[in-house]
Amino acid sequence: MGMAVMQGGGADLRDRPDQAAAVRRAVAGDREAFEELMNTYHRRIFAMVYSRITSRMDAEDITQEIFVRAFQGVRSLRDPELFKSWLYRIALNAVNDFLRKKRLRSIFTLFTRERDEGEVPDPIGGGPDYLERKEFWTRLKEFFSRLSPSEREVFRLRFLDGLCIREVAEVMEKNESTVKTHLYRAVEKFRRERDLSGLLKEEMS
Amino acid sequence: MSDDKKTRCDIGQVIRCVVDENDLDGEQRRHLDECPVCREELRRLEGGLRRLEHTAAEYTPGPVRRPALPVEESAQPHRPAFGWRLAWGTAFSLALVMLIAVWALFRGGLSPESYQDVAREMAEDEMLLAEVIVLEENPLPDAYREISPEETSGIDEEIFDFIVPVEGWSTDQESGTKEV
Ligand SMILES: [Zn+2]
Repeated sequence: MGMAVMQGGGADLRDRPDQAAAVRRAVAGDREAFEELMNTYHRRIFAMVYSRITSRMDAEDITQEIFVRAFQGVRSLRDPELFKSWLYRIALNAVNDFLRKKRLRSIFTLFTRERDEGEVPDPIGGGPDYLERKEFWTRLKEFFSRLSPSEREVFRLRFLDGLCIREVAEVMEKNESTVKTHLYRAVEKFRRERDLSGLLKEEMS
Repeated sequence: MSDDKKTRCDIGQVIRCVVDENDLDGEQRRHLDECPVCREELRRLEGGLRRLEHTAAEYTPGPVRRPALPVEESAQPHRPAFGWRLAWGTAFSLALVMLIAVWALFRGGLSPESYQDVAREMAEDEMLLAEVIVLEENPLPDAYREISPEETSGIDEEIFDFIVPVEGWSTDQESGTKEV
């Protein structure tokens, strides 16, 4: 019974002594140790960013920024056990900085009517399953638009990024019971969601 | 299915179980274990969430570029902006100016105007050197400096949030590199 699945998206430093050691070394200024951690989290952070902006090129740039920012700040990390939550918080802030600037730019272009004349590449990209992918991300965005900002963020971190409740609470700097309340409401809405459920793929066992 | 009020079918309990099964008491757990209706509901909901995660992962491309870290070591918590490099720079420019002055004296003395020129050049040299050192201390392009924790906090950011709020995130969040 219960969510035995999706427990924390893999490495939790509290359960992974090898990674905890790498974090301690990185905090002490060991570049190689930081690169080790970057190898562990690169793909996950990229996926986390991509799922929020669905643009591959921008996701690459933001991921780059996130790791530079983490590299420059890692020495000030007081509790190495919180590395993962700390990294995800940097990532979340970088994504939100990007979205805020993008919105400001779009408001500006609306006023100045300086819209780009050139072709705008489709951020989702090509490929044989292009239509399904586009449909999925569009429907997911529509679903998220029906959630409050906190419900949306908690739901994403828990069920798309695979963080456990405690990690979600750390990333969002909220207590666990608040996170659970938001999560409860979000799951309740997900349960009633019909447009999205038809697009979900079966897992291959 | 039990008739007991406490253990009646309740979709709220199923959702609570999905969120955190440890929040259910013994009675509620037993009901969820034994009731076929609730078990089916739980199976359907958990399956949906798992498929959502799986589909999102399927439809997410892999990153192509590996992030490139700055060449320098990871930054010290608060490196003084004007350290030994400024001291050396100032000493060097002073020595240079004195050398020029001595050379000018040996060539037949300096007029009061020349002294003023030397003093002005000396001040200009120092300003230029200070600028170079500031640039050295902040080698990142503006785009990176914008996202550094010091730059993203403060009143400007609050005004910015007010004007252009971010959809997916409450605006009361602090800077990403806040110490934890
Ligand atoms: Zn039942």
